[in-house]
Amino acid sequence: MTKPSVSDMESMVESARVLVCCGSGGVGKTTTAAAIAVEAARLGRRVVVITIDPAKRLADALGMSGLLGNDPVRLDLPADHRGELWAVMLDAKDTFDGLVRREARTERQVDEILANPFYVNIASRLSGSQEYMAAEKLFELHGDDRFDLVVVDTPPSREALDFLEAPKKLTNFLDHRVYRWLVAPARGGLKIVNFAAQPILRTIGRVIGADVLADAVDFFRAFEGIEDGFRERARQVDRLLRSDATRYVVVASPRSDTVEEALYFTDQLGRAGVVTSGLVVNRLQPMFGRGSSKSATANARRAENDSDATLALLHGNLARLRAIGEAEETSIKPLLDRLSDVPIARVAQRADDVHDLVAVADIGAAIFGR
Amino acid sequence: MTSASDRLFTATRLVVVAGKGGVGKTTVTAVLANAAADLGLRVLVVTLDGRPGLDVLLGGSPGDGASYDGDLVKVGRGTSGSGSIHLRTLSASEALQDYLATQGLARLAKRLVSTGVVDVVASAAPGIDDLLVLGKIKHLVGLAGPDGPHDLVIVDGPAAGHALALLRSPANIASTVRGGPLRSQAIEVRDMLRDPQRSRLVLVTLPETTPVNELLETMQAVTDPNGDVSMALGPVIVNGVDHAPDVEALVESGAVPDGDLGAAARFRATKCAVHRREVARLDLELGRPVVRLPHVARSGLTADDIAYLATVAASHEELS
Repeated sequence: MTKPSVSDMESMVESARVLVCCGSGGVGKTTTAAAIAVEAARLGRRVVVITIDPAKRLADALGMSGLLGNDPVRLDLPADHRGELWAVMLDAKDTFDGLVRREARTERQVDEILANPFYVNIASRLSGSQEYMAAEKLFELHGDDRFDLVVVDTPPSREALDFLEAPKKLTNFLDHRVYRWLVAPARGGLKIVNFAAQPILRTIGRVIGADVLADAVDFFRAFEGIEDGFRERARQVDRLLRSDATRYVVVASPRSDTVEEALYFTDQLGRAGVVTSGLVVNRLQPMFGRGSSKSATANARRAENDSDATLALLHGNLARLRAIGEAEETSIKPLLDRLSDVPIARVAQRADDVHDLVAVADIGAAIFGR
Repeated sequence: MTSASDRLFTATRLVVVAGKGGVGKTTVTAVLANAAADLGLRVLVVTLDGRPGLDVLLGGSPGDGASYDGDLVKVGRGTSGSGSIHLRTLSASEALQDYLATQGLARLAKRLVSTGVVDVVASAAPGIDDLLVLGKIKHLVGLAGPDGPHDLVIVDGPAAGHALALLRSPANIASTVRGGPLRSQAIEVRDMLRDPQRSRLVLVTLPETTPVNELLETMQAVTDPNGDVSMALGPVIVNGVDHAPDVEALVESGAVPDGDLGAAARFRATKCAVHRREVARLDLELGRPVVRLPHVARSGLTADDIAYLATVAASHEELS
């Protein structure tokens, strides 16, 4: 087993301006993002962590309950932490509203867009909106002088690229030819005539309901003129996500399915031209000494022959736990091999169901080798 | 006593399996499919996110035999040999094409989907893709029965929080779309989900505090009779429960040595105590026992493990 390169992880976190934690659901991604943020603050950085729907207990543990909104809130830290820790709980809809307010030309345009049911659906539910708004928030906070590191917990997703490609996806959506069809008639003042003349739209209207389609038409008309601002903003966000300032840390657990997903994430990042800068493997079975499950099983058998039931039970138990650990090593090996040139942190699970602040400290200590 | 209406597999035609990421939802889907097939039922397993692995867990190799609407995985199960498992993947775009075809738009459907036109316009109504997937499931559930191709449909629900969005989509569409075929579809699907003789929801969790809390929250949301889901619950399944009373007793007695042996025993005993506490809490909250699936000391389960877990599950009254 290669020793995790602890100082590498520390220097990676010290030099990053943006740090994105990605991984599938249930691997401890939110906790990992919080742990990295707390540790970075200990190292003296002014950190803001963007969390997405954290479990209530984690929010409690970080002292964020009821406090967090879409604006950063400063959290209390132990006295030996030289930096600052701020946190934001992403509100995708509110972030989208803010973007509309910034880009719109008139108050009326803002009101029209925000009140449109089609807009409300896009902002809160369109696949990729949450990812894009996380990226938008990241961009916004990156430009905020109060912070020198932004740590992001990405929305749970199978596709790492959902996050990375969200800006492009939204731009494509707004660029779509349907948009042109819907808006073009309005430009010519021939809306009714042209609208009805589009058989494809008539058909869609028949299927999904004419009123729903009418909302869409209204939205695209109201949106006219600000799509350039949106597109430029998306380009800037995209540039930041792909720049050297942004580091990607893959978070996994030793279950074989989450390892597969982590490998898939890594491949996807690589294909998008983005380098994985670190790996955190959470919830590993502690190994209890250097021996193998085989040797523990042999010892159990020997104790049995000696009619020492207690010792047999103890060795049998040790064998079982080690067998789990060994199986985990086998399942994470492909991931460790693939990411052999990046810092890797291994975090052992705890037997007791600890309060999450303890878990945060545990992960932080493991990542930074304390 | 467990009455016939409490026996999941015969009381209903559709079982939706849901749980947060990492709790083993797909494992449980495979376990339930095996347990039902062992009872002689013909099971259709539907997976929504196309996540690989379910076919392996079910122990099938594609091309085992003729299939009607999905790949045949297993035949000749149960004492009567009539049990079988089929597996199929459902995607939103497939459901959409089917839907357009039923609206007499088959010719247009391909073009609408391939150009992405529908994606854009469908964004106007939240959950339209979810509803269409459920509509397709409703069609499959409608086929279930002694004369149909299968007896029971088990759906491996979408990951994480998406399951709630999926189950809420019919009520949402019914309230936002004021007329047309989509609205009727929404109402029909909603009625199916609310009918305990047709649909039951199986929630999966792990025996740890946070997953159990999350399960209880989800349960409240989906079973609220005035809520927008209002589904009947099947048994709650707790996955990965460790149980080692002998090790616990030893630790309790103080007879464990220092060093690795003792540390390992204390680790295991603490873990078992947490599991027992969380299972007891769930039993109390639910007012009936949960289904406990034992922890299997392997990180990647095999089809044999699933078959074993299915026999454990089948000892629970609601799954017998």
